Amino acid sequence: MRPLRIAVCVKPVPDPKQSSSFQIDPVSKTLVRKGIPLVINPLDRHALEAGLRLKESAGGNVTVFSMAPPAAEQTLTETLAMGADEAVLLSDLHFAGGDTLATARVLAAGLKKMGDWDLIICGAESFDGGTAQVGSQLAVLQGLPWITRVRHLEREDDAHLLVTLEDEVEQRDLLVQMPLLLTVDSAVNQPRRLSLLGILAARKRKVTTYNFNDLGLDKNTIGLDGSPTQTRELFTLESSKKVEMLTGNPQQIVAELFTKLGL
Amino acid sequence: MKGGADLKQVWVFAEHQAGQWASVTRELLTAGRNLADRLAGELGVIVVGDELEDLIPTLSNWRANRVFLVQPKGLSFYHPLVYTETITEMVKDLGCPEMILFGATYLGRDLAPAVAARLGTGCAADCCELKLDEQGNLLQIVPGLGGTIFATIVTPNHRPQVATVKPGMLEGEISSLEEKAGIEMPLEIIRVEARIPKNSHAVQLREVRRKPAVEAKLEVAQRVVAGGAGIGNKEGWTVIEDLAKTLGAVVGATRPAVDEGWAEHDQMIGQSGKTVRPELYIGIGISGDMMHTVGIKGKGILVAINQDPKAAIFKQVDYGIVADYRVIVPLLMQEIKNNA
Repeated sequence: MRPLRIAVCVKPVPDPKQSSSFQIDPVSKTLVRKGIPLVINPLDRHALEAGLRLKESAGGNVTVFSMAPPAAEQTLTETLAMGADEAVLLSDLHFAGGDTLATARVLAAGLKKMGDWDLIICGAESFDGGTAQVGSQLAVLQGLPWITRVRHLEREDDAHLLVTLEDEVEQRDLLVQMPLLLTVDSAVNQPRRLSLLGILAARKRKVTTYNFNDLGLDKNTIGLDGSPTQTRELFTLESSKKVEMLTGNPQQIVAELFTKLGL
Repeated sequence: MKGGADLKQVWVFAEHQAGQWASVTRELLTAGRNLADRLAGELGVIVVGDELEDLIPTLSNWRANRVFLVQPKGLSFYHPLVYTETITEMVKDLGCPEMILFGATYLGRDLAPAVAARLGTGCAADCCELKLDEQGNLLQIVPGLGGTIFATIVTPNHRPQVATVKPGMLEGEISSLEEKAGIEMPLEIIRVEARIPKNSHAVQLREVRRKPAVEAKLEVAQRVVAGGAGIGNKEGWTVIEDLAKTLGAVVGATRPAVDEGWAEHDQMIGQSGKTVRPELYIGIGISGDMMHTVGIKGKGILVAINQDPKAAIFKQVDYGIVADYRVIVPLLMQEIKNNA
């Protein structure tokens, strides 16, 4: 079958496994990122895996794109270790603070700079923002068809993929024609683990970085200032619960809980 | 648009299933009516589909001013390109509304951001509350930043303001509005032609499978046992399932637990999952991110079991237990069986 040019978009996010230590800076009301390692957004690893499998079955190449601060370079190296052929970091202070549409505009410009793609794959949503919006917005900006939350994906023929999605009431199999954009759910595959050899080999390879000047974007359409949505206020909800801690040895705790709950 | 040209317009995209409005549609209609009233404006409802003769008149309950009825010939499924093109063109042809509200369902979360991108406007995802500021801007309350915080999102300089609203969040306002119904309002029906973009052939339906009716539904469960990252592995997850079985509870999960593959996406509670209102909720190995706890509503009793005494969940429950669930849960199941 025809080899495919595949782009995979990834987002570095604070490690979800450390979310219990997330703290909000009381002054800036932003997440205190210090000390929290960045990892590839969990669903984006499924996106990369999907791209790698298509490449392995029919040839082609997989290029990873990410709009992120310079510190994300290390995270992108991990995608090379997983098997990506190239990783492109789109990084510039002008990109910072963008909402989903402003972010999609930067990603679209980065993708365009590298040519045409048969298939663009994104994780369905990010762990931190969780809006699930960048995928379909990125497709719209490129005039491409899109399908979100793909749970199963296979190559049908040279030009077509067969994908399965699931809404609240049914599963649908769709025959889709490339070029197009897909976002994938965790059900789509089990991402491969990193091999030591892969990690060592990736260390020697370089992540390509493009900045504002490289992409030829209008400053008024990107970053904080180019975002149609603005965050006006951040607040936490204080729970009104009066918490009672149950203590003692396990038998005592269970007996007390059993009584309290009136089971 | 007849009579409505100078009035502010609020549009609601009304999803329906099996001849009924989706529950989130009823919530959106209520919110949309209230917002339109506060703006001294009108409520327009976008409906796509056939055989809706019985359903459409019920929109009078929400004093809808008009229905935009789209009946795409030969299209039996949600086609992202057709729906996006049609709504984008409606905004251009019929006049730009102040806002378009969608449910944060599969369809809404796919369609709303696409429409917003086409129009170059903002979209707020998974809102749990909608308000207006003094200028009439929509205040869209969303959970954000890893679920540790809520944010108020505004789209001050672009119209329409597009938002998806999480199902179950606006409940409780429906009845109050329905009581006010009864004022006879003429419901104007405007037929809108579906727009079929050139590349729409790129998406074709091959097969549809109805999902088996979920045996026990989280949204209506009286008891919920939920597990998070602290469960540790697939074997640990069976402990959660066993406890749920013993309690007659439905199993819920946090996003990390779903990402680990221990639980299905359908079982996720929280921002991008289900909203539950159980009488009893037991959260095990759950740190207490708002990303998850935003999905726990109602006045039920909440219990948390977690080894980390500093976990945020211990500030949000009625009873907290700092212990290894592998010790506590089997003892609890034994206690329940002994007393059965």
